Amino acid sequence: MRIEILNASGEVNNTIIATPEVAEQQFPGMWRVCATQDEHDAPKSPRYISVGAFYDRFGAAKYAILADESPEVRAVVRDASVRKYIDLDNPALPAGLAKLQAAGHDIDPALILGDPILAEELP
Amino acid sequence: MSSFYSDFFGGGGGAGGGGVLAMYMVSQSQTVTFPQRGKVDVLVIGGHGGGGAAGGTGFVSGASTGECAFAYGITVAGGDTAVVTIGAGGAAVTASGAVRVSGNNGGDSQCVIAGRTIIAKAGRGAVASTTKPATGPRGGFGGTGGDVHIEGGPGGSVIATSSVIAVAGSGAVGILQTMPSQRAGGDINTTGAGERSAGAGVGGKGGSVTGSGAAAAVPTGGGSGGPGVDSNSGVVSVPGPNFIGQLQQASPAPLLQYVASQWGLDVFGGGGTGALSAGPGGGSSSNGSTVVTTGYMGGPGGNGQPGTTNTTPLAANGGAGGSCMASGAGSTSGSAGAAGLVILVLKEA
Repeated sequence: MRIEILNASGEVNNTIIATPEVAEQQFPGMWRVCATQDEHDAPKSPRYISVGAFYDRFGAAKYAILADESPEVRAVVRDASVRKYIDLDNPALPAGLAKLQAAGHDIDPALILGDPILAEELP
Repeated sequence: MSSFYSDFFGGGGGAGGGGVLAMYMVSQSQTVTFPQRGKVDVLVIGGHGGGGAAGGTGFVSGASTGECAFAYGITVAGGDTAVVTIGAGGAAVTASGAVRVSGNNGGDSQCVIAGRTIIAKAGRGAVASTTKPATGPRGGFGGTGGDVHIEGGPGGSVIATSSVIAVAGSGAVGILQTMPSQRAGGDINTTGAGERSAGAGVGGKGGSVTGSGAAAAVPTGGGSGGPGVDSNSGVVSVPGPNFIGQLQQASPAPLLQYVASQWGLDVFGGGGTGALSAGPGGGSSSNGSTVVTTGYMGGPGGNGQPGTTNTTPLAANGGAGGSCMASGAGSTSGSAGAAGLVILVLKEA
């Protein structure tokens, strides 16, 4: 959220993005929550993972999906395999995962798309 | 750790040295703890300015982006921390009726690591005025503690036009360490009419409205490899080039991207046109009716129509907000600037 950092006179010195807990850690007693919050404050840095990491997120279904020769599944796998990385915010991605589910593969799109990115998953 | 990533980062750019052990993209204030010893390259970007708005009459510049501060090869031990503070983007503004509203400034970002405090100053909000010129604000500058400090991209200016209302494009982020003037939003500087200029790309100024001008002039957004194309009267379809000079929105081949990129960001695309969204790193341009998007870290073009009520600005995408205009009968707004960003790349010592 938007947090205003105050100087000794109570004037706003800076405006930052932080939780109240972090604001108190970094600027104890010298902050306040902005009266106006903005939906655009949500972080928007890219969420890219490697293709291999993307497949790993299929969990136990990974090898069954990679071995699946049905046209719909093959199309999804091939589409992913030619990418240099997978953008987890790509609006086409949920539809691709839905095709895998429709083919009977037990995957969890929410986890695949929403889990935090680990260092070893970076492209 | 990805071996692919390590291969291309290893020994490249900066004094950081070895392969990549971990990378942290921090978009909210927090403390990062390093899991092992190594050398850290740091990029700190200040929060970006927000766009302004005008209803009925008036002139609004583009917004500027925050400063980039780079530091290389900082030695850390396992368990050491980096305390990161992320500057907010300038908040959105609304103009209801025949009024003009300037954009809001962003906030400063900071990273404290191994006894060093690296500060990147904020970008500034668009300038709204009843008279010309409405000069675009300078980008964030004056931060301290980094090895290299790159000033933010300035907003474009409304210098001259016979139109009673006009909005300029916004600047782009200095991620490629180009000169600020190469990342300025397009200007409106015409002996005739001109209402909207384009946003900057990370490697090229946004297209301006020049010469005899026309209300229908639509210049194109700057790209990562060069400026957008100015318009004297009509709609331009040639965008600012991508990183290797191709006149297209898409980034070039992946190999080049990775060799060129030190921070794991794709900002190597071209600028947008009035009908096409910008590629990564590209500035956008509006024809007043087509909905387009701005490339990551590029600048939004000015948007809206003088005689249309209730218009919406082009949104920020990792950079400055966009300015917008409308008739005085409804409302319009300036979009919020994006928050700052800190990237920490831990490499083998």
